[in-house]
Amino acid sequence: MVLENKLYDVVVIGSGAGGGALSARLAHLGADVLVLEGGPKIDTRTDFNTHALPYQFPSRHIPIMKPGKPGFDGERSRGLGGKTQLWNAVALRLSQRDFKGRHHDGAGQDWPVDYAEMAPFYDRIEREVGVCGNYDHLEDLPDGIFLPPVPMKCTDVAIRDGARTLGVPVIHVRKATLSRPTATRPACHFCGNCMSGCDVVAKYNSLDVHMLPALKTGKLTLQSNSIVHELAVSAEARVNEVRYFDRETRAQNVAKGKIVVVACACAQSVALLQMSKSSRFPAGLANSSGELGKNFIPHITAGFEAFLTPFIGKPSINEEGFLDHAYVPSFMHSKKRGYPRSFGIQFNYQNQRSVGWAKNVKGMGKSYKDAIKARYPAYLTFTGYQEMLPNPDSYIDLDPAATDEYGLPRARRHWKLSDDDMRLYNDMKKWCRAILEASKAEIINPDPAPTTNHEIGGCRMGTDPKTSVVNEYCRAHDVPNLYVVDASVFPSSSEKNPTLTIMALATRTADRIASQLQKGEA
Amino acid sequence: MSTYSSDRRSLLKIFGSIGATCAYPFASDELYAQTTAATPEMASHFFNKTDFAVISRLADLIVPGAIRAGVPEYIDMVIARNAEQQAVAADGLHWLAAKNFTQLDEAAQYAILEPLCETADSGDLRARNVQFFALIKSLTADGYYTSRTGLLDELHYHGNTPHAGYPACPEH
Repeated sequence: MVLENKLYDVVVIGSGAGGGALSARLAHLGADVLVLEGGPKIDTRTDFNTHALPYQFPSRHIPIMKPGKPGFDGERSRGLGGKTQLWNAVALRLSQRDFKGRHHDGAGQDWPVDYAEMAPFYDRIEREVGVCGNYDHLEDLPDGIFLPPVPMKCTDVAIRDGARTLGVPVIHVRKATLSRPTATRPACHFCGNCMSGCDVVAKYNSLDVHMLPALKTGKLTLQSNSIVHELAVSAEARVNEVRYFDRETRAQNVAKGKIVVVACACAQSVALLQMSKSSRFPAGLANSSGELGKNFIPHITAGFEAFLTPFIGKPSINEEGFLDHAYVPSFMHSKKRGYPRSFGIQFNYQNQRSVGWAKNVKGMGKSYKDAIKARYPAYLTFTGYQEMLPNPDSYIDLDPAATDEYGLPRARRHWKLSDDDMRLYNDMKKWCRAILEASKAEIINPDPAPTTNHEIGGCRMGTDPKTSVVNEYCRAHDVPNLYVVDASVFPSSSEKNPTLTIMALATRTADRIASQLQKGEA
Repeated sequence: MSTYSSDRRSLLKIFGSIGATCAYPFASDELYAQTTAATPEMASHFFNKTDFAVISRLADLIVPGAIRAGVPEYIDMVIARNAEQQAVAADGLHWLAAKNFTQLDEAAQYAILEPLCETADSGDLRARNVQFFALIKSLTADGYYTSRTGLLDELHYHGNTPHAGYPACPEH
């Protein structure tokens, strides 16, 4: 229980990648930090159904949590660690081209920071979380501080050899999963169930790697089951109350901090600011620009499924490893093309506990059953991830009609692809098919429709308060003691997975906040 | 602007309760969405005895061994909580009853089902009886390959075991 009159140095809302890295850094720097997490307390080692099999459940769905263990039951109430508990841990640095895309090809928005500014913070985060990968010396995917890479699967090698005939690079995946043990965490044991909660914490999660160790400072308070629904502001346009209720009892409460950090994972951060209306900010908190919720730029994906024909009929082997072991980094950015930006390809990350593709194999009877058995060792996913540019039809808002289980408005995601986005999408599909064909793959779905993944944008970072929500240190232009630290602040999405950059921004923002507290400027 | 947008997402859903999302572990967000769907565990007594026998026979023709793996009970449980699927199943069962399906020998049963299977495989789901076949095939595949028999005995799933390291691919 928090005493209502306690004034923390910093109140952090959300405990995922951004909230975890930031709060741990601040606590180590001596700030008095309260983290409010909407979901329950989680014990990573015992609460997840990491090793369950589908037939243990009549519905054949494996629930995320073990019976009686709450968690991950809604967008606002995931649990300590947030989505880092279930992520696939791909950890890529953005490149100078990603930060300065407009400078590079004339479209979208540049970041107010560049790679040289961010590099030391990537270094720090990689040391803290542990990232395995190969030193590839690519101009567009900067190397980091790596643990040894994990060998590619035989199926990856087949893709690599096929892609090579087209001049397309295939590299070792870079993941925040340990390929060798540290003093406190074991190395990965390759059970293949990474996205079901890593119960040994070989895979990074913000609870076990960042926040629990920071409790030793005595400066960090983790408070779960606390759903924040409003940030109230004073006459001086400073956040003076963080209003929340208990997830179970619904009892209302208030937390106070000199500084407040919103880190609720993109759409939920936007929604919280949009819900925090006041006479000073009638269109939502920190929204004098009218840009809050706009510039929603999730990754657009083309999800192929295929069978690698050289593996059809081979004996079933266990090569799940830690899901994907390889990656196709961006290569189109340096080629002549009819659109801005580029794409990367993540592949071979299926978990072999589920065989959902079986229903789509043609035929029936014994030949059908034999075909599935033969194809089981040959199946793989192959998904292009592209950068989307901002457009007026892609934004986050609050549903005026639907509320969630807590009576709070639901965040809605609207997205539409522009002609440029579609040109890129179609070219990405063409390259995916070409690589698969060059690798002797039989493609199950040659023409997948675009879907979204990795929510990005909505609180754009920029130097101009008229066109952006937060400044280059993630501080709201309108509200001097309010920060936003998650992928909602990204001015451009890159095609690379966002989490490592969220953490690098978080640790950099923590330094900034600590120095302000020290100088008494907060 | 292209026709692809958030509004189209609902059109991409397909038949079957486990569906493409299960085969397709995108990222934590997707995984999260698929496994938090409410799944009340229900007793498997939706179909009456006659209809259950027909469903069982269909499942075993689509995947030999499906009855022994408990697939009909799974199909019953899924359809019991989906009104749309119940309507498709009712029409399909009615259509098969008119053909005296259960009285026919295996070859004759195959002769009825194979054209439906071919049409369903071609992606043409306009006809009601094809929808019915596609539904039962989809649920049979999901039920069988999530069963112990299907996943372990048939496919020899070896995952979920700890390894000291990950060996490099020996052939390369």
